[in-house]
Amino acid sequence: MTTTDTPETVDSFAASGDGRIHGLRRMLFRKPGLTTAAVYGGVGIILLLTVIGPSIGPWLADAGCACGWGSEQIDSGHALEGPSGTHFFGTDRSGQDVFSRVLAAPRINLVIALAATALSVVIGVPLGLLAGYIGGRALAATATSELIMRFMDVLQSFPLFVFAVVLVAVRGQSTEIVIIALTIVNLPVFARLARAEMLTVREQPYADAARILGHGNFRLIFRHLAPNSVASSVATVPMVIGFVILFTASLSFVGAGVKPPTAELGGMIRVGANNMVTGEWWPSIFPGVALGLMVLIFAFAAQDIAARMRAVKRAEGLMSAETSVEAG
Amino acid sequence: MLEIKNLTVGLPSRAESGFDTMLEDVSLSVEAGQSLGLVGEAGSGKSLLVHAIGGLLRPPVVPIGGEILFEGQDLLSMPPDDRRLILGEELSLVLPGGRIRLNPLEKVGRQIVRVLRDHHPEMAKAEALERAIQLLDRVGIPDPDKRALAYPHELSGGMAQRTVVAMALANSPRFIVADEPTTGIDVTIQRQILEDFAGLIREDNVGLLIVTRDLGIVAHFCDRVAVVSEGRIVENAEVRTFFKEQQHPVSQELMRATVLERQKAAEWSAAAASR
Repeated sequence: MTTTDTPETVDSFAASGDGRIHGLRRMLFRKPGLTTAAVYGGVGIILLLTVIGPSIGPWLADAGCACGWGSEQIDSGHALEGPSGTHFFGTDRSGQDVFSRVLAAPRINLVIALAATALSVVIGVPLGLLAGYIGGRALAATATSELIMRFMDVLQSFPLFVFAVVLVAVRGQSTEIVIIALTIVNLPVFARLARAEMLTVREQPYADAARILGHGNFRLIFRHLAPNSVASSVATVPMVIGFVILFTASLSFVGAGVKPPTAELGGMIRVGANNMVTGEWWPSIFPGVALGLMVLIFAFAAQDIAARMRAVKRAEGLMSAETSVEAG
Repeated sequence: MLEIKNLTVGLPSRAESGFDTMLEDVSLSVEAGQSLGLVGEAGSGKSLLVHAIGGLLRPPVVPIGGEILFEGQDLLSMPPDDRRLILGEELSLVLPGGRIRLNPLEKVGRQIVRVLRDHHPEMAKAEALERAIQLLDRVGIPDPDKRALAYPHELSGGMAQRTVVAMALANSPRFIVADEPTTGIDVTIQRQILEDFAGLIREDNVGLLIVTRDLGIVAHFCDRVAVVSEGRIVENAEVRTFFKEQQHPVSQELMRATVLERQKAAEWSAAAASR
């Protein structure tokens, strides 16, 4: 497309459809390809398992199927049995059904991941926006901004794993502590992203334009600057969810995560790892594959969202190029 | 109405005075119902002056001395919250650039509604939206009710620029400072907007300070003209006398450049005719 084409393109964009204007929206919600459908289908399945996963085993039992088990039900008479018609994925060393547990585990993993990610976004993004907005201005404001960011440096400079293990060791093993540890680990990521974007957005010409229209600081930040500063944070969320799932599993694997007998993927791998050397692979491999799939799905989702945002940015850039008149 | 007294703007330096000045001892005054054209080369300080009026100077660039009086109140020394009540309400600025002056994530109609309701919270949303559409219509945007629902990137450059003008006019200001308000707009719409300004000056006694590099605009729409060069006002004259004879070399240079352009146009039409 040449530059001279652009005006018509813009107009046809604006006037398309029923007269409503939806260029941007069309770009964001374009028809999904097969891969995209698979990725979001995967996310959907994980969400579904989060809701009903733990009930599937008992439900199968109620339905009279020989394969139905509760995820925490123990049958020590059948410990370490290989995959069969009764136990699709076999049983672990205490006689728990691996299939039921693999279905039940996403609940705890995802709840931890969502909670920790949400908390780090809710705390980290506003802190970063604040630091970005007030930084480099008056002395007191700059000092506050620096204080926030240097604190983030401190948080980030801890070796993540050691930090989480120590926190769990000190405060005891509980889901809440795991969530708090993971929140602290991810907080700086969002604070930095938000700050970096705010630093550029606050200098944008439309920020000045909003100021001279008499908008107060509050309106300026919440209506004009913040919404324009959160794109990279949003695009990072699915990636962080995947990372947190992996991290939760790692913590459980070293025994600092979720307390057994709650079905949790990392914990299951840990329990099964002892039997791997003697040839009973199933208690570890199945939860391992499940874990890998979950992380992979969220990584793909992150990539997809980032690609969509790039497409929108590019489209906007293309349409703006033609108006690059000198700004005094 | 707007009176700038001995305004000096600069940044701290190791110079003897402690500052490098970017605007020096600038004095201007524009009365209600009057219009002043501010002209000058690129980098002369025109836009800096506009930024100073809007309170947009940012450290290290600071006002060093002087006053910017709007109806007797000094905009420079007043608390930002008080200045905010005046800006966008009684004193409106149009900044150059068009689309880049609009929040990319909000529909333009909504942005105009915000300007209206920020200063008049009692105004109902529906009423504000209707007024926003009227404003878009007034600056010559076709299908204003549809365009009000557009995002800035869905507008053409000229439409975006006109939207910026509409936002400045929203609260019927009594003084307008317009920095290159019609750059990037095609001439017919340009004329329409400038005539709208002229109507406001004539009928509503509005004051206008217009920054431009187009002496034609000055000749047609301004009462006085001030020439800025290297941060100083080098000439400030009635338009009538200015176009008869320019006192300062910079003004003469500006005139000559414009004349040259006209000669070029004559040359072009001659070239086209000979094909």
